[in-house]
Amino acid sequence: MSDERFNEGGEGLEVSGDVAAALGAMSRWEGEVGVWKAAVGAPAASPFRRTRRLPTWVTALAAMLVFAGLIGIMLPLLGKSRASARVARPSSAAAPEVFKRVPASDQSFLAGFSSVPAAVTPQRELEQASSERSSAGMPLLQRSVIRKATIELKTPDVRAAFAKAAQVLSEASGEYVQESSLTGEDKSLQATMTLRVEASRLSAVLNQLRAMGAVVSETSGGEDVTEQVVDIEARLHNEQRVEAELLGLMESRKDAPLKEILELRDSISRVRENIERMSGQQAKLSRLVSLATVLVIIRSDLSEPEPLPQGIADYFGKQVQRAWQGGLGFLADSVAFIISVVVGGLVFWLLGAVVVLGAVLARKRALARRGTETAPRL
Amino acid sequence: MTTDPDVLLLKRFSRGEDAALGELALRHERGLLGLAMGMLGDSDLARDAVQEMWVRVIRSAAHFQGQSSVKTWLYRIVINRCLDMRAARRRDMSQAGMAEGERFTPLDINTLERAEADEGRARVRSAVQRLSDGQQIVLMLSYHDGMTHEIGAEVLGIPVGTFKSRLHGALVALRERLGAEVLP
Repeated sequence: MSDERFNEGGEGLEVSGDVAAALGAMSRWEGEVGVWKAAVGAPAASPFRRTRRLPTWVTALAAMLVFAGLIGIMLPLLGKSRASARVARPSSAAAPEVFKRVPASDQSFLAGFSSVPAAVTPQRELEQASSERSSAGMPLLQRSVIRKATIELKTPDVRAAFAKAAQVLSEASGEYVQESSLTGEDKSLQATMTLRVEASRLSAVLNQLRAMGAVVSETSGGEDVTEQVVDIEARLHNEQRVEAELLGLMESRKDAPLKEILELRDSISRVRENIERMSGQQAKLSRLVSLATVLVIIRSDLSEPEPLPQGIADYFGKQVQRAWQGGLGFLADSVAFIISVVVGGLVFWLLGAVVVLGAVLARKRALARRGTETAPRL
Repeated sequence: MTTDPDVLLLKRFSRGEDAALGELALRHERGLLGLAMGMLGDSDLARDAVQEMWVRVIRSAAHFQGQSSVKTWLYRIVINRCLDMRAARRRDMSQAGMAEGERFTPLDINTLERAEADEGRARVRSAVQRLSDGQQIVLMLSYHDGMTHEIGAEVLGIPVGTFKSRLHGALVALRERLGAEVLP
């Protein structure tokens, strides 16, 4: 098919002037322009106008501060949850010995009675105790700690300090001096006291004692007896339940042979004995937990007392020294906090860094896509 | 440091100077409207396409990568938008059950009057509209004011040689369409 409007030229097929003009006219605009003005006012464009991006370092700094704050909040919470998890879920290996219930001889005897419940496993016992506490609105197995502290003081007046030390006790709270002694004379004069104070007041009492002289040494510690408390509580609970069962049997089998009734009584009496012994242990542990033990040693210090500051210059110097030491202490605390946040939250920092890096890369990619346009697919 | 006036205008606009967008529009808007008009055959749709292109430019001006020239970027956006609109229009017509011959939207009155005044141009337009999308775009870009084969190839993201061979194919197809009309 030939057409004079199309010619094979050096560059390939070429069109004559009228076709070329027609093609050019198809994509020629002769109307008004200024569409861009409508676009500037278009709602779709308005949220993106005048959006100034914050400098990257400002964004990064803000993100780091927020992240550090989150870690500072999360670390103590995690520590608490770990501690409570240890108390609330004692391992089955730690508990089972305390769940021995009725002696073997009684087991065989009780086997004859169908109403006796199946043996309860130690784990079930613990879970039951936990659920009972939970349903009763009690906290889940509070930690029971026997607290002990030793403080050694030096003071010029040992006798006065000895007398004052006894006064820090609150008899209304059941606190008392368990033991006290005053030995030696002059420079060798020494007072020793064992105070039993309410556990919650231990730090307050220590503070009062510190004010009575120069502290030479001070130690404090605690023995966690939570497991023992839980064990005894569980065993006691079991024994009481067995006792109730045995008493029920006794009541229902009044017409049983005499031999069986006597065996039943023996069992009841053994169980009762166990209950009494465990109640005593429980009460003792409870006393030890509720009252902390403080050993106070007061020695004589007849060296020259520190002279009182004299004059405003001396006072000012002391204050500056105190302020300086306070500042150093604050600085040390701050550095320790930063180190604990950085090191303790290393896992979180790494996770955060990965997330931030991913977000930055994704944003860069999105912005790159927005600032380019793919070629038309034809 | 670029000296491309289009890039400088875009930067000025992204810093908050609306007038810079006006200057950029002064340089390219007429050509963009013409291309959109050629592809869509309707001045209102052409305006819509170009307006949407400006919205896109406003949203992305600050993130322009400079991987291509601003002019290429603008033409790509318009062409993609026109292709989307044509596809949507075809879907609508297909759903409405319109016949093949009714696919093209009637030209607006002014355009029709001009076309009637020049029968030859009307025939060329009619023949072009029956070509494929790819062939139409290559023809539009080739005979568009101020457009070169190099820029056309850059807009389509293809080598210049490929652009020329596609143009050849489009012209052959156009000749067949026009020949069929003239010599049935």
